[in-house]
Amino acid sequence: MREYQGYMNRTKSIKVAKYTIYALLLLLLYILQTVPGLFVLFETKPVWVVAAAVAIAMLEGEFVGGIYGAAAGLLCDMGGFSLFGFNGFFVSLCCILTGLLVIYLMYCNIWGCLLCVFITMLVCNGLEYVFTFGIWEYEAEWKLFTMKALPTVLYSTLITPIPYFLVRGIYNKFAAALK
Amino acid sequence: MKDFLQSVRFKILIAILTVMAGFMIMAVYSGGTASLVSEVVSFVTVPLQRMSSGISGRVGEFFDRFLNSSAVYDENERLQLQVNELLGELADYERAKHENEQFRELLGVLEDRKDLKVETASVIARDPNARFGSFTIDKGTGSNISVMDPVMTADGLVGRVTEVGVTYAKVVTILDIAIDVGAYDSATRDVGIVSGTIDLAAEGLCMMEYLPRDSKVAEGDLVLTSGGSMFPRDIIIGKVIRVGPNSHGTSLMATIQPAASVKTIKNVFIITEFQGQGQE
Repeated sequence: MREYQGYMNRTKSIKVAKYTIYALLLLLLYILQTVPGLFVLFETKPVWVVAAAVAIAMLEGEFVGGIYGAAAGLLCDMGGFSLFGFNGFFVSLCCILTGLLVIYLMYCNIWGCLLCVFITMLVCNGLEYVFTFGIWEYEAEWKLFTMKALPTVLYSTLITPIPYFLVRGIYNKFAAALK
Repeated sequence: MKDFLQSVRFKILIAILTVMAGFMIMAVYSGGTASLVSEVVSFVTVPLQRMSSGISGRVGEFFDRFLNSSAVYDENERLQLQVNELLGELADYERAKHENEQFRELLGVLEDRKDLKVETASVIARDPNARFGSFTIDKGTGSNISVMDPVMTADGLVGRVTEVGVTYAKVVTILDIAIDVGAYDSATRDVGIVSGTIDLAAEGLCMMEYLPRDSKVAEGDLVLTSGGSMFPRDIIIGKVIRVGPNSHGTSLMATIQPAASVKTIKNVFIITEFQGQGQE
């Protein structure tokens, strides 16, 4: 009985350590993505935290993914200029769906992650564009989507392998420890 | 799937999404005041962002010396030509000096502005989702900064504060389509509204609208704030680089090159108090 309790405590502390490392990773990526001038390519910067949250959702499932998705979205809301909670809501929703897709339909690999990050970014940026600019019919507002939102979506998809393999490395390390 | 929909996990996830929707509703009614979550997270992130932007700036400057050596060489060549041209223009110097003195007198530069109370701040974050050069600074309500406070550099107006927390504030720039600044042309005294457009923002420019059709506004004129409750009077916005009729032909619009380098600035002043602030 004592042995079993010791095993459970160890399992619990390993999981706490893993989730703390995920949280620290999100924080680190948030700092990196907001540093002025860093990773800027043609005036576009990638959104690292969303790619990391989607990777977590793929590996950890819909529940953990949903929570980290909400956290990543809120970080985007903090740095960005959209309504606070907007990205939190949609990134969380997309991460929940990603987790479910991996359980029922999709393989958990880099290609799946690239697709999910692309769709998540497209949904968030597309909806933000529609509500912030599209419905107000500013002059040439479509250019904001093609020249700003779309490049951000593509750039964020391009950098996805880095957070994906980072998250997978952490996941594998802790999975081995749990075994 | 049916199991998932009936599980406690599903209910918790629905609760999280509801909380996110609640944040959105709160944000609509908060009027630019940061939410509790932003405040708490910012206590962790702002010091880290301040540190990382400082490091990034220094590292960037170091590597720029090597990466941009050919650009520096080209620039040197170009500057040499410019020096030769400037020597030829020496005759105009006295006139320009006299003009400059007139402008200074007219504008009343910052040191002469006893009505302005300013706070200095550093740009600590530029988010991938931020548009029109918007950024976050490392000062907030703790330094007497409030929503709508004007932001400038020694060169000219940058924008205004749109959201403020205890340790940070978000700034929208004069390139933003959502900003309107009352302005006048220093040469003709014609008034108009300076605002951003999507096309011009991509080039780092903004425009002055609603100028009278018979206005004599010309290329090279300085544009300054006309004052009021939102911005103090006589802050330089920029220089006119093009003038033309608006799309309906009812008034003139001037394209403005902002005096401040809106997209690359690292330090700013926030005007926390000025004459006429907040008055209707």
